[in-house]
Amino acid sequence: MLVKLNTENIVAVLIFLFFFVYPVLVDAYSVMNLAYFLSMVFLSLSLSLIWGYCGIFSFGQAVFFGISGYFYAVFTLNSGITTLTPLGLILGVLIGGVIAWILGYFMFYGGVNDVFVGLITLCLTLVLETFMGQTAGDQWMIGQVNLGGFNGINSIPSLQIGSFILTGNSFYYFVLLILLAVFIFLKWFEFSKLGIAVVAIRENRERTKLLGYNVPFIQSLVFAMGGALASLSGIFYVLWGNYITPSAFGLASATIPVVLVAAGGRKNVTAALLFTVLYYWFSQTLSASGSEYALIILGLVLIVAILFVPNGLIASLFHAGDQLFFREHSKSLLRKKGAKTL
Amino acid sequence: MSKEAVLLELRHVGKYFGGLRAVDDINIKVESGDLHCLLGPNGAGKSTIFKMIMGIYKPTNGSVFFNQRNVTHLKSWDRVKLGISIKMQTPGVFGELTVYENMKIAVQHFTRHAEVKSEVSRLLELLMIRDLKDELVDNLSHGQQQWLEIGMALACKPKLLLLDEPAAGMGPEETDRTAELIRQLNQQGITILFIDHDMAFVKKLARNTTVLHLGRKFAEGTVEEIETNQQVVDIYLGKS
Amino acid sequence: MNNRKKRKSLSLLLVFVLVLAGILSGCGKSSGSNDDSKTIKLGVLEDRSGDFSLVGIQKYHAAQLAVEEINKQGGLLGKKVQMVAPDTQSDNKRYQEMAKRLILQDKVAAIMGAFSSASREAIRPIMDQNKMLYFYNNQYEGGVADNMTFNTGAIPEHQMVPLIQYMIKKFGPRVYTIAADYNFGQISAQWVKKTVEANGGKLVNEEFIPLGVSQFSSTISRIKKAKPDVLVTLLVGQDQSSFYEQWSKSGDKSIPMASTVNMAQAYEHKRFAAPALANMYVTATFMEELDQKYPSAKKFVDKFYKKFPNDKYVGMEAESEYTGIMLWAKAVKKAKSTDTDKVIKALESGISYDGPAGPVTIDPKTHHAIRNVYLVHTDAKQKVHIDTEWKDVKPDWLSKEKNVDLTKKQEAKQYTPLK
Repeated sequence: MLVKLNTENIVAVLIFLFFFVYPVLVDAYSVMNLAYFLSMVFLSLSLSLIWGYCGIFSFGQAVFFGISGYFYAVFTLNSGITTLTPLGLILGVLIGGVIAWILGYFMFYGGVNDVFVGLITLCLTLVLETFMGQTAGDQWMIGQVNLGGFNGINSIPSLQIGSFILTGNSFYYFVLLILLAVFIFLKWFEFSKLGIAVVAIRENRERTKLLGYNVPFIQSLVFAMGGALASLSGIFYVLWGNYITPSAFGLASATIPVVLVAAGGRKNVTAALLFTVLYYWFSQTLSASGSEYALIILGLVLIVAILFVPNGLIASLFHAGDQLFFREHSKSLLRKKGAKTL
Repeated sequence: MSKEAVLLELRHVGKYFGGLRAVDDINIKVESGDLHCLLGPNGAGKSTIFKMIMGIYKPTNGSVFFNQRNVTHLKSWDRVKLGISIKMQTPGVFGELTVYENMKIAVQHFTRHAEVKSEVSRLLELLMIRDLKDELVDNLSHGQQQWLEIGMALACKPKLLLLDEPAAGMGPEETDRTAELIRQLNQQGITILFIDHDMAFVKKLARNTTVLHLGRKFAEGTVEEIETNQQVVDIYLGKS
Repeated sequence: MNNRKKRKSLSLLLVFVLVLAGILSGCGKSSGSNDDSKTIKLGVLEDRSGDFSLVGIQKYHAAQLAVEEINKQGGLLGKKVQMVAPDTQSDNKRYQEMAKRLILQDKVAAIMGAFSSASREAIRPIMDQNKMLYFYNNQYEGGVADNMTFNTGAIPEHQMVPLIQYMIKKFGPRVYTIAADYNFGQISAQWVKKTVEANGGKLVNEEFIPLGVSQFSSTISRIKKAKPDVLVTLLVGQDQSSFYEQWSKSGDKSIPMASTVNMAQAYEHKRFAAPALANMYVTATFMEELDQKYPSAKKFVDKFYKKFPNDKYVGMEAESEYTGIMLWAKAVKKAKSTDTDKVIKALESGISYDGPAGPVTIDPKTHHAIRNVYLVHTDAKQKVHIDTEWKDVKPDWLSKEKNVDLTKKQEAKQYTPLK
């Protein structure tokens, strides 16, 4: 498959080059800080997949983020064997995917779509937050691990492969490599046979059924993939901070990824990635400066972005770049013009 | 007619939306190879019947048989896989994708990977829109969009093709080309069931017809028989 | 048409570049490692926005006041103290990010901060991992035994035990508890039960209310039916505080309320119209209204409002923060160094500071505070009256019942009454 020469792809290459070189340029704190931002990118990418590609509007990615984070914590703290932590990671991701599949099955085969998926997933995440919040007592134990209620679980072990503990640069590159793999997969997926069917479902779900596609099955499959990505995000977050609370299921956790992907450009994975990193960096800088207007500024930026540039700020910039530099005028969403077909 | 020759059969099919009776006690048989028209004024229930054949609506009572098989409870996509395909009344195309991409979505599901490209080309050629392959579908004329949709409906290699107002909004030249296309498809062995208002168009094309009125089958027969049926003339003709 | 599009794209790109440049330039302020030889950096992590800002702002201002005073008196070890204070926005993730930043990038000497127990638990392991001296200057449910952590706030031994003893003695043995259904509420309720039973009282009922609930009609009828002598309220958050108004309208006014949560932190008695918070008894390590009786309190309240004339209240946690910083400063002077191990040793030597709420001494074994506790109540007009005080209340549950001795043992966990 030939990679098309356009603004987005050039920017993507530049971004990844920058990420790979980053540890050479900065101190240890900044590297771990970027590793934390990159962990949150997976959450945005899960929405790029299910919402951007397939049109499934979900406020529930936080559900898989949190469940897998808690699972990893309970699994690794109970086993006590640090070499089993990779198994915790793999199982956590699988569990997220399976739960997403089951949830998707009930929703999509039941004919639930569009705004109702958003409502149901939002309710689910808030229910989980409330439930986990009241697990403070000692009866709320799984094995030897107290769920901790609102205080959450801390001192969760880092990932250890063999005798090698992943912290600092090693953790950073681990996350970055997986991010690169996921990114390439998502770019490839968009033009694969399944990916094309997924986009068709987004564009006109009923029509796609009438073209012979088992739409609920494909939706569940994509939703499961999105769940697995959100789970990956949750576990990476736990590996970075060694801590998880019910606020992982909270309203902010549920809605911010949706807003970020909308503001950046939901149909474009590079836009989602770039906007997420920029947002986290910008909001952190505001917080560090102690500006009392930090939250207001952020809110305004997001509102303005979505109101005036509904296709997404970064995605629109890519499009502008294409028009200027590549004389690209086709507005086709699959952007196949000029490229060799598969 | 022999039993094997009946491709599509509706037995006592009725559809109620709450208290509203859309269609009631519909019995239709369409032979294999037929070019059959569903006639009737607006609100007679024609599109509703199409939707029940495709599985978009479930009949309140009665059954739908395709190729002697009861498909009443089968999902839409499974019916497409059995060989029923539809072009809807409002364009069911992907407006923000190109003509080529639209066809590819339809074709890739029923054609081997290596042959997708040639099959897409073939269909685009057949539908007279090959030159438009890189155009955004939203930029196409209404008529061209309808041809595209027919092409997409053909991608699944259907035995039965449902066309809801295939020439709607077309000028005389386009209408003729559409009629020619439909005849061609029928000659290739595809059974065609279509809905239309334009009596001239229907006369040119249809071999058999079923007339609906107020949700019930009113009359059936060849075009000549219908034309000379006074009751049909009364309720139907006089509308444009 | 083409030119217009091109111009539009160009201007869009230009705007983006300008905004990016603006952001990058405007953000160079805060961080970066300054000249270590001239200042001692003190990290402060408090919520100046978000759900907890009502108390967070008080603590932040108290910290500013403390640091200003220290610098006016010549600083520490000949250097000025510089506060590095990001806004943690009542967000646990923010606490984690900023704690790491303060430790690894700003390289502070010590960190003061956190309001909610969740945020404390988010950063406590980060402090441990990096051997950073950490002061949690706040009321909480008690039980933290951590070599790196010091607490100047109120814990159940300070507030709950004297309060329940007093209320049972004054009003009768039958106690009804309503508590927020999460860690703090549940553990505090355990302490109520413990203390009620130890003082010959009877816990007639315990109700746990999920956070965010704001309708209490069925709870109120149950309380009225049970006719307790004392109603203990451990409610948290904006929503749960609607209880008080509903209680004053349809509850039983003769039943006194007792709480360790209200008034001293988020000054409900000033924010809610009377008589919602009338007839409430509260134990606190400090309240603004102590200035009616105690000169040390008045002195503190006066200088606080002089520096922050627009503030609405100066409460318990502001005093904890102020006292915590002063204790740290005193320990640094005693250790003649900011080295963590040396300062901890100094803190564990029984160091004491005579502050706005009287003398506050660090208990070496538990790292919690030996301090006075005051009992106040509100009348029908919600005016605060000071009833009594207990001097030098010891935080000895950890050392007595859990054998905690941080001067001898390495620990980093939180104990609860039942475990």
